[in-house]
Amino acid sequence: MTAACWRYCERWRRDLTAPLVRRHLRRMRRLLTAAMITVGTTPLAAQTGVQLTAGVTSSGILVTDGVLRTKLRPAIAPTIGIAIAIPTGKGPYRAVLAAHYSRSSLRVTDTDFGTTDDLGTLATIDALVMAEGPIAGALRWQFGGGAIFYRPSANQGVFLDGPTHRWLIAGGLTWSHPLSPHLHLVVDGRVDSHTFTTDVLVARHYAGAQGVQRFGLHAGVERTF
Amino acid sequence: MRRPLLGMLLVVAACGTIGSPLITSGEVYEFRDVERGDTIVFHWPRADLPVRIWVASDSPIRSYVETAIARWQAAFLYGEFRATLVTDSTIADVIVRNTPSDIGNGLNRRAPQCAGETDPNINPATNTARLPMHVFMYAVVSDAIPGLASCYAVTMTHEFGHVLGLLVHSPSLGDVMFADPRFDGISERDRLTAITLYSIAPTITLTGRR
Repeated sequence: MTAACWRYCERWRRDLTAPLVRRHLRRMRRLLTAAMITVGTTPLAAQTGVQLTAGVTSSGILVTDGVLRTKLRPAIAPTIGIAIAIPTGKGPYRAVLAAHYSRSSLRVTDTDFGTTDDLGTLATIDALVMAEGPIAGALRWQFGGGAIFYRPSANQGVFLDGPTHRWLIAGGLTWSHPLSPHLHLVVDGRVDSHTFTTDVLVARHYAGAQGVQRFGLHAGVERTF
Repeated sequence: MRRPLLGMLLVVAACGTIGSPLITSGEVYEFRDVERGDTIVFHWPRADLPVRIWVASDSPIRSYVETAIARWQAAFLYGEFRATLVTDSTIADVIVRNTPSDIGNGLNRRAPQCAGETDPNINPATNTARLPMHVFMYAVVSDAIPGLASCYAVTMTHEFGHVLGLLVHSPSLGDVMFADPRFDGISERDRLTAITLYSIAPTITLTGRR
């Protein structure tokens, strides 16, 4: 530092624009880091891959009984999944065949009495066919449809006639990060939607069907070929 | 254009609510005991489910107990009544015997082939029901007389209607809860009456075991 600077630096500092608050810089650094991870990672485009994931699925209410003031809903369920992704051509799109298995207790809530009760366990298996394409870098969209299969632990209540299945549509985002040339960490968030009713509900004159949304968050690995 | 349309489909599909059928007063019969100076409503609280039933493992009426439990459980959509057989009578909520009643003040029915009686053990003065309840069912003719099996099936289903809280007989011959029932099963009126019972608050609390 020069002598002149020594003489004038104090004044220059006063005249200069006040420095940004440190928090702003920290936030900007975090945003930049996130953007670099999202955009800067090698995209997983048009590669055949097999995914194994684990996570959780949260389901909406299966039945809202307005007359008996009762709600039936599965608890948040641990979920495992497998998927195969196949490139659809030379572009960045893939067809994804995915299946997830989740299992949790089936809970009934009586809104008048304020009681909650477990009615055994309910397993669900969903089988999906989805299209997948790029958004930015390692972030990709998925959209498709398939079927969900309900497997109750006992044939009782709304599942008196046993297992049932419904059609569903699903969409979500998936993010991947390379761990090695052929192995990627994948994280996906998905929402799917279907309408729920069963044979016994129809037989007992329940009209229409209940709209059910499920949210899933899964993480796992993808082996590409 | 397609993306908003698909998004709208998702939203519409997710917002629908199933339409529950209304239950009108003409579809149910009286299930409350109003003849003892007050209105008595009893049903098993969820906290005490499943109801523990004891019947001797070698009893000739055991299969009819299993049938009656299955029939009444199937009447409900949300597990309001659930029962299980236990092997130890000292922990049972309901004891079923293939003998004539040794209590004699319960709800009873008698057909030409068999008779049944249920003692819900309700004390209207204290608004309590003391466990265990007792159910009796026995043949009044020889086992070889035709119709005994059918009588057992109808009678045990009827007695379990009392066990789950239907304290009054139906006025209709087409219901298993008719005083002298012929219907082998659970009618639509029986079913709607039972689910109506379980949708209102009981006046009776359980005492004794548990």
